[in-house]
Amino acid sequence: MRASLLSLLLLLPLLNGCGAGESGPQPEPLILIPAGFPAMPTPASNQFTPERIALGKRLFYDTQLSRTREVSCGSCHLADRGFADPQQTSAGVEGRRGERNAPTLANLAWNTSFFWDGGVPTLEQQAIVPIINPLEMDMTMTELVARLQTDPTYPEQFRAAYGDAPNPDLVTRALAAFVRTLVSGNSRYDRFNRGDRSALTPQEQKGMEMFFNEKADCFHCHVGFNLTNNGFANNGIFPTYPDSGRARVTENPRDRGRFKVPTLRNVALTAPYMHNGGIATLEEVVERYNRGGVHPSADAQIHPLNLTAEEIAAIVAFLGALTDEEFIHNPAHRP
Amino acid sequence: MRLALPALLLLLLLVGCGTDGTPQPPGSSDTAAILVPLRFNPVVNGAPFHLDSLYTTTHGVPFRVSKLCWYLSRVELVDSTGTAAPVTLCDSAGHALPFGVHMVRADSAHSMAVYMRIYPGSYRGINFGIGVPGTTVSDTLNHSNASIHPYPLNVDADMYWGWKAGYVFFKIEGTSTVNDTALTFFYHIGDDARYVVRSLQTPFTVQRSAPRSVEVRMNLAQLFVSPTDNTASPNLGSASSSERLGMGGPLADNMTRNMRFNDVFSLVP
Repeated sequence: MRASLLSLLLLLPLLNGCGAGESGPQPEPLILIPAGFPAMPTPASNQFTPERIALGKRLFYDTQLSRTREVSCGSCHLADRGFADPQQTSAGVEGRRGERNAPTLANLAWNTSFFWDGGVPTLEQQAIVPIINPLEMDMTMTELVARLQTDPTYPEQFRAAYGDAPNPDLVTRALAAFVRTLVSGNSRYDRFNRGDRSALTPQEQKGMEMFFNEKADCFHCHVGFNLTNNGFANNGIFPTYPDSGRARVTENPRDRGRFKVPTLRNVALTAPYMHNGGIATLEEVVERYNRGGVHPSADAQIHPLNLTAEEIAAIVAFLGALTDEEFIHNPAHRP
Repeated sequence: MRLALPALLLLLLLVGCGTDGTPQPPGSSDTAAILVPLRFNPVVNGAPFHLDSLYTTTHGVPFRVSKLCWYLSRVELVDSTGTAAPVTLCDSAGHALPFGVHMVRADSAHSMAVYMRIYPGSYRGINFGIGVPGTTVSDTLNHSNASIHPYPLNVDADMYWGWKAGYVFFKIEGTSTVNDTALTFFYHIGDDARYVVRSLQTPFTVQRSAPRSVEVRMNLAQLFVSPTDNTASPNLGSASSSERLGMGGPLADNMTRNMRFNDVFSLVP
């Protein structure tokens, strides 16, 4: 990303009750879109309001969403970890283990598909899955809605947000509204791109150069404002893929071992890595890529990179510069 | 599951139709549509089917079914001129079903019948779909957000994939016995390409004065027949995990083909 916009942040014009030509104090923007980011796509049926975001945040951190009241969305998507999970696979109700590593939630508003195999097209539909997955919350929508309807304050909060009592549709819409506010775009890398040449160390700048050149070749997949092409790739890192990956959705054998290309924003915080959480450190990730693919169906661009130890260290340092401290510590994102 | 037709399900309910778009067959002088049960009667090679009972596939593999459910949709009646027209599916009270979709569940005798709002007259046959249409009134029903739908398209109906935005069209689970070893099988068949359209051509007449249900027999044994070789795999005994890819896999493809072309479904004269 080479945007050199002067402004640090653009204000998304999601202003409540703000008619054209209206004078007086301007309302606080509901969400800040970083410079260089495209407009945020939001469904017409789920436009932002403060009430919807607040409701979604409450639900996100509420363990009532799980059958045993043990876990919430926030149990596996930790702000300190870039809204990912430091465990290889997350613990659901009664200690049940999921099958894949919990990915970051940063910038999901711009995602075009969800989950490691991309089977779900919207955030609203995505929100259904962890609730009903037996390995995660193991809940039914019927029971969840019953809990919310008998809660002393949820019904009123739902009506304020959506004009109706709790129901499955509104649960998913509220959760999606909150998750869309998890926007990360103010890392040192972003500040460097906006003109602050002191934002990156010389080593990080070297790593950035490697990241975006043909030798390290990271940018073919990790590209654009969110450092992902939103595609699916077999990175060839593992010799076998017991998890069918994208093939589960497409039923195309060629998609076996292909998984969604994740954003690299806050990647230094989101270890362990890959769909299975099978790699513990960024150093090992880059070293694995440096060796080239070991799987016969690895994508064509996976090949030995012949990076030196110094170059690997620089790339890892650059990846560390993708951490967005403002995002991580934003109180609006926390319970 | 009771295979005998309860008298109540034969009850024809007069409804005040005629202006609701329900097609009227040629020659019919009736001015009011009626509710006629469309009943599915599962069997295994002629034997009454019951959940958890022991049966044998045509390949000689013993099996028991613990769960069987599937979506019925896009029902049409074919009139005496060969013209097919959509039928409004209703519940027993005459309320139209959302999107014209009904779930048939082997654990619910009530669900084995759904009601068609039709005119008395002569018909040549019936067409129906197995699954949730990928394109319908809302254009993308199969891939829509299940949290907005009532039963049977809701999340808790146990037919929504979740990990993929879509529905299981046809679900059959159970155990088979191979070399004295009980193996579980579970086939969850879905995806737009596996939506089945079945046309059953057997003439029947619907008379206001002599009510009857329209009965479709469903022979489960025909599900497990190889469409190309009656003696070859796949069958339940050989089914491996690799045959259950994603929304079905190769054996599910065979089941789909059997539902389309074999004698899984037949219209009882």
